[in-house]
Amino acid sequence: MFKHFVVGLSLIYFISENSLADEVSEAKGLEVAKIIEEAGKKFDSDSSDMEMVLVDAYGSSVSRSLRGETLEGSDSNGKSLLEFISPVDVKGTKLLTHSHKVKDDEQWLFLPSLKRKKRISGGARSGSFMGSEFSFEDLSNGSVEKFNFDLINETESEWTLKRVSKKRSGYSKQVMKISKKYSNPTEVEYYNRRGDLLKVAAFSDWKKFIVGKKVFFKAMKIHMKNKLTNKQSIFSWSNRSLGGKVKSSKFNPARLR
Amino acid sequence: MMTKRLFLLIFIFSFNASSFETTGMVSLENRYFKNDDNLSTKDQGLAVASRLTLKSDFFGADFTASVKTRVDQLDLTRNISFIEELKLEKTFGDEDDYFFGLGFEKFNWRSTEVFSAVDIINSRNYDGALEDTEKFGELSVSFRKYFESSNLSIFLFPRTKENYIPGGASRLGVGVDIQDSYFVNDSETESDEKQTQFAIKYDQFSNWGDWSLFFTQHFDRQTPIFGNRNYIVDPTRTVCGIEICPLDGTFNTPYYYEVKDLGGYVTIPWEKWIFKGEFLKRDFSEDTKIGTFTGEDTQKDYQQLTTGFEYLYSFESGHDLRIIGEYSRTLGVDDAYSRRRFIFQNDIYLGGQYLLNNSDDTTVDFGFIKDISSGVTESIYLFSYESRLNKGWKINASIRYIDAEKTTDYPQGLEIFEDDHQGQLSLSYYF
Repeated sequence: MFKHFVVGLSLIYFISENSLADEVSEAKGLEVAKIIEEAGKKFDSDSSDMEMVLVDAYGSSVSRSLRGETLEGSDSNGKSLLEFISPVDVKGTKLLTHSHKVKDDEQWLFLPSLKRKKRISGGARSGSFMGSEFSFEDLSNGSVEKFNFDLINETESEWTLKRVSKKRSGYSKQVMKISKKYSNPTEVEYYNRRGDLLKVAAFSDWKKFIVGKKVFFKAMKIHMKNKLTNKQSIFSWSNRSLGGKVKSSKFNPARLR
Repeated sequence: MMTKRLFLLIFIFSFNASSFETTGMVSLENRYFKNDDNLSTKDQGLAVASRLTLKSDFFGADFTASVKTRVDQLDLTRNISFIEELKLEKTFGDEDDYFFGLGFEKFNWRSTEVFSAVDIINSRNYDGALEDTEKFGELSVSFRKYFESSNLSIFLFPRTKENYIPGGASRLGVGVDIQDSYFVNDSETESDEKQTQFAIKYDQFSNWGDWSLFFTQHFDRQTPIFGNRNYIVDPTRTVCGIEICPLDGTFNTPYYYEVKDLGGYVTIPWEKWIFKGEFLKRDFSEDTKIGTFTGEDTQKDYQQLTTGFEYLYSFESGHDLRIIGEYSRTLGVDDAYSRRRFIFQNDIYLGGQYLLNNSDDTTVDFGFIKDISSGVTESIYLFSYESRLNKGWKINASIRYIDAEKTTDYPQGLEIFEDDHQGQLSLSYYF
């Protein structure tokens, strides 16, 4: 009887200890996520030319170019406008996104050959972006409110954070290595809904920007490798500027043309 | 003549342009129809089609010119050249809150993909896919005021334009060569295209969805009546063998009636779904009677409703499947009238778009349109494949199978295209 009591007590202690540890790692995870989110704020605007190189499993590649502008909104709401420059058959196509802290993003696509402004589903986030290994979800606003966090590991130079989407997602979890110097992820592992490692994104070519008195570090290259298909996509930025004057009217869906 | 004027205009503009951007497409189109054992119709087409688009800045305004041309070696009736866009656009005001546009414009007022009740402004080239016809630019003067998440537009269309309806040699035509069009309004029946039209439109973009509402007084280009306004009624059928005898012996003039349209469309995204709806209420200004093969005919007021949805399913392979369903219904008129006037009267579309999301943007579209009225067997089965071959080249192959049998001597609805099954292969180069 006493033996059973001791085993039971040990089990309760073990569970409560673990759950306490879980709570601590969740709280620390959330704290780190908030630090990162805060570090990314007050950039005002971001304008750049972008190139995306798609590499298939056999090594052949094609490139796509875009022009992008982002306007920082209040309270983690942002607006972005992407214009496709190449391939030439989709030149002039525009994707306007109004991202939100918690609710689904609003998205509109402008198709110049049809002269059509089309509302698209902000909830269909797991679809591929322009045939690349990036999904709309990968490129959307990753505000703290949209995820549950767990701090897995911490070293002198980086945190390792697990994040799980609170809403439906193409991923069961994401594991992020976050540089303390850059206050940004340097690597993200994406796990599919079965829990297998699906993709790994590596962030590189860091560049320093100063807006007002605040310093930002931005990766000028993201290399996404699909571990299941062996396909790769490399997203790189050029002519990038932060804090420049961008007209807010550009991000009005009524003006898309 | 129009094309020469266009190039002269572009030449003049080029002297004042600070930047010039040229894009375009050249396409080799090969299409086949099932042999109809009729030597007077063309069962095959081999065409070169091109679109040239110029964009420039002209004294602070945006100038755009886009011309499409098609030359068919086997079916000369397909040869066509038309302006899609030729316009100057300028925004002004401190926050660019005002917009002024002048020139030929292509409009796309719709929320649905296959059927549309409200895509009614431009005249069209009906020598092509029934559910996706080419549009001619509509001459327009437009003024727009932008608000925070909406805009109000006023359009004046100083002249109208007839559709291109393929002649007797075409498998997509009405069986005979078409005469010059007439535009029927409350003054008299006119053949002149200098008929003024106007529209006012409000567009709202909200978090829950987008909606538009419009009113337009214009000439209905969707449902012309083919017949003859000069005829005698002969119930004894002794003069010409049928009850309506046209004085010049023809029933091949399209009559476009003036109409007041009140319409709207809405798009509502919800998670992975998008729900769509369109509504049009038509009030014809005139009831001038036209003599046709089947008797006297005129336009009646009616309403059209189109609803639909899209659902996107993403596979772990990275492929996407976009499932599309739509329903179109004409209300306020009897079935006989609907069948005389429309190809699609009470139809559903169910289909999908499979996107491989590869570097070639390979897409497979498939689906069917079916008339769900009782006692009617009319369907179209559609399949198309499109892929990029390299940086500039694209290939498109499509098949269209039409299941509709003639039930009377004067085919109506989809019966007009009985056995006009079609296969098309296009190779396009974009520059």
